Amino acid sequence: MRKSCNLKRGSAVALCLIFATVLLMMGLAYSKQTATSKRQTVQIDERIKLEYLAHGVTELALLKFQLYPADFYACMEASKLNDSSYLTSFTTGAPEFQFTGTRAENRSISSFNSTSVNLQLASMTILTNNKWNNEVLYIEAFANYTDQYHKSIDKVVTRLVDLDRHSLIPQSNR
Amino acid sequence: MLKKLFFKTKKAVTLVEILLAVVLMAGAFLPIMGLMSSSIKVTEQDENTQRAVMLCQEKLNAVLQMPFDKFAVSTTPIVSGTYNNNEIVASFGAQIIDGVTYTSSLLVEQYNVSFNVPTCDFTRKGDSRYKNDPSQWGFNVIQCDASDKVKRYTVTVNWQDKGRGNQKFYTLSSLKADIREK
Repeated sequence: MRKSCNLKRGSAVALCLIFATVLLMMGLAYSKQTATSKRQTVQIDERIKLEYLAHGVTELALLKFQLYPADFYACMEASKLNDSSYLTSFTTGAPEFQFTGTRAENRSISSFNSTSVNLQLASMTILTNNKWNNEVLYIEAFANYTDQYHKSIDKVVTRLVDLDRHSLIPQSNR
Repeated sequence: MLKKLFFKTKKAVTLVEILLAVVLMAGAFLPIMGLMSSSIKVTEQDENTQRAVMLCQEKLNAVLQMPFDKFAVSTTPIVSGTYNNNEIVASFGAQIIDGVTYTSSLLVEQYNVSFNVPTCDFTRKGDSRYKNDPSQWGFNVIQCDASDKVKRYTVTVNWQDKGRGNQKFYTLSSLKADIREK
């Protein structure tokens, strides 16, 4: 009986130590969760930024198409004849559609992140084979940056444009 | 009798044990309380940031949907005023949401761009002899300036977190081209 009483001595401290350890573990898990949540919030904010920058690239591509449609279609035709170099230099290879570092992102910064952004036109093609009347132009832009945790964040923006293609050459002469 | 019950028995928890347990519990609780307090602060700051991002996005969306000529190019940002076109409204200046003041502005700049256009000789392209040989179409890359047809819109939202928070800002930027609708 006396022995059993002695065993109970110090049990409060033992229990408390176990409880404190569990609490600390919970605290650490909570801390980790908060840090992850913060990181994800920043990533979401930065993705929005990338989306608008990439949208700007699609806007440029659409303007180029609008200003020079005949040249674009000639490049497309050359591409169908297995020479895609002209289409590449009109679209994805054109220097006006490639931005690295400061040029594109110098306006899109925030107090929590100001890393440089890479932007480029990923694709620009006609999806339909109608040749005349209704066609669909597909434009895709890609934006990317490396965040402060060295994780690569990517964003792809696509745009589909409904076109009315008409020729100035009479139907009989085409 | 009482003395015998409370002080001579070894069944009960001693005062030293209780004190030690309290100290240990406090040692475990204090950092957790601190952590929770800072977490609440971080969550509040995140909420403010999210609201600023939403405001910024909302305003940039609105200005991007407006006609190309709606905003003139300027070196100074538009810091106040309401602009609308049909049902689209964009307002700039200060607005208070949940006790936090958000100040928004719009900067409209000319975007200098020159297109590299591979252009061909359409007479040669139409010639039946070269019809299937693009290398004979006389492709040549020419540079065409289109700076007057592109603007860069930059919307900035500034705010300060409650308490002794630092001044923060969030900026969104995009391009608007003079694109004709069908």
